[in-house]
Amino acid sequence: MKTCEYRKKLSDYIDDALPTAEKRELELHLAGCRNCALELEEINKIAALMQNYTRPEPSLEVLYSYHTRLEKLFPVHTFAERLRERLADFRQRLFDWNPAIVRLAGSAVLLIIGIFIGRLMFYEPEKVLITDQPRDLVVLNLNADDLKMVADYFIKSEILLLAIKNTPDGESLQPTELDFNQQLARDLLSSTTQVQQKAALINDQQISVFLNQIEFLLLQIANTDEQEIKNSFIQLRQTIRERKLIDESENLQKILKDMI
Amino acid sequence: MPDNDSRLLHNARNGDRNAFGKLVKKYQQKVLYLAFDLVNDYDTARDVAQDSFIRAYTRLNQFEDRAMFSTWLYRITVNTALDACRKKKREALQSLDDSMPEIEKSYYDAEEMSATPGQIVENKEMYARLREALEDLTENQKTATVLKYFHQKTSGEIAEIMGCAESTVRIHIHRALGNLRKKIAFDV
Repeated sequence: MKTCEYRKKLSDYIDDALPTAEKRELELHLAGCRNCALELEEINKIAALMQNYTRPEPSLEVLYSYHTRLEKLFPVHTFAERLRERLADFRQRLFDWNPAIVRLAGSAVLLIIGIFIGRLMFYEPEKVLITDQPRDLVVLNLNADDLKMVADYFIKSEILLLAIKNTPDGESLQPTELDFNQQLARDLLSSTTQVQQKAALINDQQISVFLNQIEFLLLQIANTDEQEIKNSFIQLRQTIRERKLIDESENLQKILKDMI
Repeated sequence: MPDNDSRLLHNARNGDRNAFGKLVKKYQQKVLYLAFDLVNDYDTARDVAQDSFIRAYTRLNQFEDRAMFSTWLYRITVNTALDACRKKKREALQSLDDSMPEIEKSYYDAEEMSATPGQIVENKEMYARLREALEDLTENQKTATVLKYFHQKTSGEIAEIMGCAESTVRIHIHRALGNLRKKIAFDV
């Protein structure tokens, strides 16, 4: 039936996507067909409604948590980066001013650093008495339980990293093993914020950086589905190896053990 | 692909998370809005958007340079959002009544200053019906419609995002408009 054929073209007609000849043919049809004309009018209204649709804005809470989370996972302009950029900028401006003086100043600085390193190498520091008393944890605002919580987190994350690292490339993870790993990742994720807050009080940059790396890995593990297992885990194993995360975890556990 | 995206992508593939962070900053709002348009709830949309960026980061090596990064990111977001919708339906989460207040509040704020009281009520009702009708479309129809009308994508771009032919996109939109027309009875 001719009418059905023209109805299919109405949405393309609204988008001005019909060839000229077809467009003219449709317009001639519309002039004589009330049903199609009415349908076109209603489709136009729907299209206009959608084009004028203004979605509601997210709440401040949603926006804040969204941006904070992404900033944490994929930081931009870290302090180190800003410092590097400013130093590079300062160096360039100095150089533009007078290259010869800058070179001379640079050489003088290197000489001073050399003398300093030489003194360090050949200078014996006074021996410091090591007492049997534990570190003054009050200064760190942490108690032994807090440190144990952080250490426990490192132990569990190391177990997870080892489980992933020790699955040979090319072998698929059994569903039960994946479930176990994902459940462990989710359990660790649920306590990550608290652990990071405690770790921040220790004021050790190495620990903070390591925790951020672990959190990122945990999110990847928790979000992997069965179809993506192989590829995701190959990449995870590579990351664990390249960054020596298991060695890092063991070192930090030793540091924490000494503190407790 | 925009030169900036290309350069950032290259660095990100070499392990520079900062570079990927810049891409995230550039697209984070669009991704959140796209997620919301598909799942109709900001808490879920936030999770979908975050997951989409994580998935994109973990799959960077699978991205083919001939495509646009934004298109690829949109595709990931659409798939993640549809997964979330399916999960939501399976778990039979929030009822329509729970989501209504969010929509109503926004339209009250947006429309109040320029419209008469009668028009405000009518617009709110109309958009609420539109939103409800969108939820009854098939996944493909909803996706194509949202991308076309809420994100101003062309049929070609939608086809790339959805991984289908342009003619298929037109069919989805045609059917979506037909279904929406039946569900939203125009009194005017």
